[in-house]
Amino acid sequence: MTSEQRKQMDEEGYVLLENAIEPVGLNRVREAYERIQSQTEAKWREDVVLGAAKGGYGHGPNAHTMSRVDEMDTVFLDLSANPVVLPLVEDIIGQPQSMSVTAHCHHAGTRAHTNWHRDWPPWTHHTWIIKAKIFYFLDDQTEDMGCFSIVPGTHILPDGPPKDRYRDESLEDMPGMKRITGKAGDAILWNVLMWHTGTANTSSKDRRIVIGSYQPFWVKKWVSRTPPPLVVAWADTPRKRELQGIHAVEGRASYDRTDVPYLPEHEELVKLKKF
Amino acid sequence: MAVTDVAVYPPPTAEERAFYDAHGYLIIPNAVEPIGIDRLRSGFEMRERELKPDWEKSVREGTFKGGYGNGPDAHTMSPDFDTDTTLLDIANNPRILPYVENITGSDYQVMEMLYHNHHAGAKAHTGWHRDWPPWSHPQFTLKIKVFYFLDDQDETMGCFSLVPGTHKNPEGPPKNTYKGETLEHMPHMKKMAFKAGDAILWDVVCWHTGCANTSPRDRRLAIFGYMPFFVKKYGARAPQQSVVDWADTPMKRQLMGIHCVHGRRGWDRTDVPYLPEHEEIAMAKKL
Repeated sequence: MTSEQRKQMDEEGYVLLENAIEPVGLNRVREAYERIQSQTEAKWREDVVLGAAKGGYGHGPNAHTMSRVDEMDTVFLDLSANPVVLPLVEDIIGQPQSMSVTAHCHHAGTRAHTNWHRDWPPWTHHTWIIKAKIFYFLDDQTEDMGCFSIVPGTHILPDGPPKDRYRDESLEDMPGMKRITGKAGDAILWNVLMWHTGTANTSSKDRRIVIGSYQPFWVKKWVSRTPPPLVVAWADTPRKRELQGIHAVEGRASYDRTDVPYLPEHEELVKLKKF
Repeated sequence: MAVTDVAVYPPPTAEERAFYDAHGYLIIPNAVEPIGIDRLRSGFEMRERELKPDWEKSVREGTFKGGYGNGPDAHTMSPDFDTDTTLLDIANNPRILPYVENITGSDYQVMEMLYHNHHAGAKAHTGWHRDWPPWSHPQFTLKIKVFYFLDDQDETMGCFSLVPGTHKNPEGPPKNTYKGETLEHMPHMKKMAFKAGDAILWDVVCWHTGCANTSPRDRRLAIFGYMPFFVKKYGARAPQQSVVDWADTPMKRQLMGIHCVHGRRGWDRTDVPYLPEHEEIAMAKKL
């Protein structure tokens, strides 16, 4: 992260990254996105009709959230390790693990799928942040597409947003609100303590994004679930094992998964650890 | 006295909380009272008898390893919950939990639960350090520990020592300046010498150490760590059945890091069935 980027991240809570998707490839990501969307759309529609849609990112009538796509296609694992983005994440998280990758569609002509909020309690550190997300835009995004919106600088406030005051008709009256637009392939890397929302998509185009999230290695990820074979096979270096929350390179070994064998070179690192 | 989930003890007073915020620790007199000092001592002594031969062998052979200075100058003992649930009941101490909830938040879980003996005549078993990076929150502490004293302690017993207020420092202690012969020259160091049954609750970001035990008496402690539920605990390892059996209420399940009452359902373990009343709590959650 350049000093200018770091300053912006510290003071405003986000940085915009032009064509950040390039090392993985926009077309490759779009193809995987569309394949998963076509596989999951019928179920989503059925759940919406039945009122059974449940989940994050406003999954329901106004948005289709495709969770854990990084367990379905390695393109999303590659995206989690994007060499343009990962060094920036390491600067702000310290020892990051990818929490999940999510594909998200906020449909043309739908209402806001969420309200003003922050994603995590306000845990802070003088160097690191507790959670970062990156939103990759799969298409050019304009202000009428219900774009991701933030209030820069609010990541340092102890309290969350006055969400009952700025909602529904007054959602977009939030002082200091900034709509994030960009070109296909661009991304925003941001601190999840920043107040944020989505807005109504009044355009004729779906707003399609891919969401990556990162937290320190010590935060719960897999819990009792064994990492799936696709993920383990992809994670063929110690750094990738750490990124997937399986085995830490630095720090204590007591957080390491015991249901996944160490890579030989990783086992050597572990033997040297005190804890 | 039976241990229950019913909160019959108060949270910290405003004065206590202000003291904790300023200094990074609190002393809670006779904290062990709901469980009983005799039971705690009995559990300690039984476990020490069980583990001492292996510990002595590891010291002789130089194969010792582990936290809290386990080695020639200290014996760190993990409990066996199949044979003794004393430390589980103390982790759930109704005298302490209102303090834990007030300071770490309602989504607390217990991390380590240990017995520790820093032997008579032993050198300091550790140097100045802090246990975690200095994360902060307007209201809560990321990790606290509670040390229960099994015996009256005086300053010659190598007692736990900290530098009050250092939980606010961005940097850790100058551990290379104050080590060996100069360990106890640390400015503003405070030795924690209290009565049997008392406990110290402290922010692990405070600079702290142990000192040489120059007395003829062992310094015996029970050690507990508490953190929010979102912090990793078991990993792939399923909780011991004896722990699951003990955790027969939703709040005990949360305390043991199995299923949370406060916090996301996604952090709950799926290799332990919910208690019926806990399942309702979990399914009502959005995430």
